[in-house]
Amino acid sequence: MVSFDHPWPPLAAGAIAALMLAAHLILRLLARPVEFPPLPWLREARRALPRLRRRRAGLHFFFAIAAVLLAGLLCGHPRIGAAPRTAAIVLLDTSLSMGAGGADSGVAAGVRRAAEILADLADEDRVNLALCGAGVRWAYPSAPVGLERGPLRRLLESAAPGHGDGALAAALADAIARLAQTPEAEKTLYVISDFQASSWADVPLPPFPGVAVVPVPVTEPPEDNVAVRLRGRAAAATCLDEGCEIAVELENFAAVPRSVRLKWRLDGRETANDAVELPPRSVTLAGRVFSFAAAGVVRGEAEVLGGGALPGDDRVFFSIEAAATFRVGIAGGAPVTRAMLARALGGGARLPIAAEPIELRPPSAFDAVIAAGAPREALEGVQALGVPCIVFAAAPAHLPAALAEGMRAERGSFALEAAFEGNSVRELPALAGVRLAARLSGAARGEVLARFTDGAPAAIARPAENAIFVFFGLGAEAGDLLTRPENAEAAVVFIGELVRLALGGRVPTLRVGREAALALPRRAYRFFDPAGEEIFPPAVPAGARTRVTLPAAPGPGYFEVWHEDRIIAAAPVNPPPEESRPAVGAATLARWRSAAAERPRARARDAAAPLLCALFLTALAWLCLAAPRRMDDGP
Amino acid sequence: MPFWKRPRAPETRPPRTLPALDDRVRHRLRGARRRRADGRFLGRHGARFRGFSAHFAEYRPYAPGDDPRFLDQRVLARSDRDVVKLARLETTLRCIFILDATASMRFRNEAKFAYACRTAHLGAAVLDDAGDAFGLYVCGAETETLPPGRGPAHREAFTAMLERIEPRGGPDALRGLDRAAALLRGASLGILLSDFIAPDRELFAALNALSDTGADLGLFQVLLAEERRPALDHDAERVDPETGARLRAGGPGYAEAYAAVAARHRAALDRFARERGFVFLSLDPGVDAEVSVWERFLEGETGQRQW
Repeated sequence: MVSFDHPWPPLAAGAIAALMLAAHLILRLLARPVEFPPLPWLREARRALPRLRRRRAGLHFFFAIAAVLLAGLLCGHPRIGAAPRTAAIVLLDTSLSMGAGGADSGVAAGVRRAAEILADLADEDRVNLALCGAGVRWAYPSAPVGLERGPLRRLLESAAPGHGDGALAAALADAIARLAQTPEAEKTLYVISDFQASSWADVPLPPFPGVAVVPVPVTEPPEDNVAVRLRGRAAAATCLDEGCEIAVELENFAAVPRSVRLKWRLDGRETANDAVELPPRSVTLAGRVFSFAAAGVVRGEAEVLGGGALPGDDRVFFSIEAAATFRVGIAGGAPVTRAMLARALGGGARLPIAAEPIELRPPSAFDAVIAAGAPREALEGVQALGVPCIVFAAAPAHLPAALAEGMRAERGSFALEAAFEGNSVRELPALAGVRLAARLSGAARGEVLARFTDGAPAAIARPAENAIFVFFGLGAEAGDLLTRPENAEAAVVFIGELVRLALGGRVPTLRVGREAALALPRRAYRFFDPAGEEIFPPAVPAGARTRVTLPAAPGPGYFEVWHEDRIIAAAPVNPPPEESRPAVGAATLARWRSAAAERPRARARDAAAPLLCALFLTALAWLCLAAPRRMDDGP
Repeated sequence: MPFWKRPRAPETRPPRTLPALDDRVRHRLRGARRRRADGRFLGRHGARFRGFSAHFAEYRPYAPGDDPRFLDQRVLARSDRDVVKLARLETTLRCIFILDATASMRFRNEAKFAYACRTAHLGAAVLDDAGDAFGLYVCGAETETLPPGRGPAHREAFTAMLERIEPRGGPDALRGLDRAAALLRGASLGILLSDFIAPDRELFAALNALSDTGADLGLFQVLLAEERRPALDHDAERVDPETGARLRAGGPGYAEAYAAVAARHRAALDRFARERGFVFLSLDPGVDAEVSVWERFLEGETGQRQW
């Protein structure tokens, strides 16, 4: 048995010899013979020549072919005798970065390379395979290496890019340990990876005695990555005349400072173009405040531009719903009460309601009026406006008086039951901290806004002409709800909710800000709900955040939508820098390659075919050269 | 044979027009005399046999059968010896031009054959001027014969035949020389124009047949320079136009070996001619002018010039 360490030189030599022979035969066939009358004299002269000189041209050609074949055979490092067995382990990196590129992803290329490596190994060689994704999957979990190829093929077919960084470092150490247990003389460890940054450390060679580590890169790692993390603001809804801030988080994974431009577009129109300096390996928050003059949904887009070095779809989309402000005037009442109402209806509850003292604007500028104090006093100036008036009847004592003021006679229609201490309001979570000492009765003629846990109405709104009366029960000791500091926080929320409920459909609803932070394009991404079910069309749950990683060099990238601690949507955008940690050092790769080159692994176990081919070609050349000579000796 | 291996079709042969002979050339050759002839008529060529005429040649003892009229009375009176006074005879010449029209003469656009035709044409003119008879025998694919004759009409027929002939045919043409020998039996001179490229055994058998007729022979070997010193420094396939045989040869040493073979072949022809008193001339169309050929022949020069 003759084997070659390098099977290609003999094959190449055979091919060259075949080409030489073919060219010789073709030229010989195509050459037109020269007319020469004194051929008998030439034949006689030829006979007079020594045999070696007569066959000189053929011998030259034969020796040339033989030299080419011999050189090829020698370059192949032939070995006589049985080839030594090899124990090999193939580590295939299936981390996230290897999945970029679709059909041409690193995982697909790695699978092909792994299949080639497995096919190159002899049947008697022992081999094991491990996929290094989030975890390590071994074809032979409990054995160093095996002889059957079936589990290897099945494992290869199941290779898919995982999430996050690969566990290559752990697999490398494990593979070394497994190879150390094998009795074979030659031990080879193939590492198929893009050698992108991951959690694997820069493993030095010395701990690998007797093991040839063959790095098989499948893609060229980007030299300088820029990763940008974009996160939309939670409340992507705003009121007119208010600002809505969209914040974008840019994280530079590179070891060098980067200068990028952040371009903002609203409904396709560029509104801002910010230059952002990103320090190395840092997170920079870049925000932009948008304000709107007209109500409606505005679709926005943030795009990171790094000159020509950041190609691809590196954008994040969001939508902002701008709603009209419902302006409410606060009439009457003590200054403290008015301030409390303004606070409750203004910023704290984030309602689309602007509450201001009625004295600040003309009465026609208000959509509704709230009586902060005595109803008669409060509504005295706004009765003629025709706008809704909200009257808080916080105490039973005020009710008859308020009704007696002629707004609408509803006397005796309901009553507060004072002996109701300790009950809590059911529908309104904001009322959980407010203890109501009384409850309303006779509420059938009004709209119940809230009930107590036993079902009794806690707050009732009753429309009367232009006014809306909101009643809620308060005990006598709680009559100073709006003024006592200890009730301030609860009262703000309580009153705000009551106003929102009382106004009902007259106040626009903030939908976007409560449901989703960002709107993602549908075309390129797959979405999964937290339970793992795919959502299509996409509906990103509340609290989702996105992360886009962009490379400096052209290549695949990643767009991820995170929910809590997992990715619910992912799509390749451009290159895929996984993490910000440095990649495997170039020096380590060079050391591995040189070590692998010293111990060539690729061998053709059976060299009989090249040898037979060479012998056949030689015999054919000899026959072709000899045949015309015999024909010449004819007549 | 594949089509690309077939020899190129011979180019359309231009009509072979023999040049009109220059008077100066005729005058130049008019003084030349062929010393041996056996014509039946008196002419200007010296006969091979002695006779009785006014031009003394030698004395010979009287032999029975000699005409007693030619006994030299003076010698008889002085020395009482019977001697016969012989004189040099001059007679006419019957010449047969034997032209090799095999395919080998077609080489290089019939350069050899055209040269042979021109040489024969000039020789015929010289003979015609002297009143000698001349005929033509062509051995090629077919043999053609023009019996000896003289006069303008015969010369025109001779010229037309030379202009018509195409060199074709293979090596079997040598066998047709038997008929030439029969034709030559009644003549006194045969001029054989050929390249003499043939197997030695058949060639010399044919030449011996011609020699046995008793006629004087002139062997004119026509070879081009490419046949004398061919370029054999590289390996190539060569084909014999007569037999179609192919031979791949060439390389170092071939030129020297070929020159030795060709020289040996010429030496054999020269030896054959000398032994029989014939004239052998090895002619190169690029070197030897036709008129000089006849000068050399008529003056009895034989052999070959230095190539």
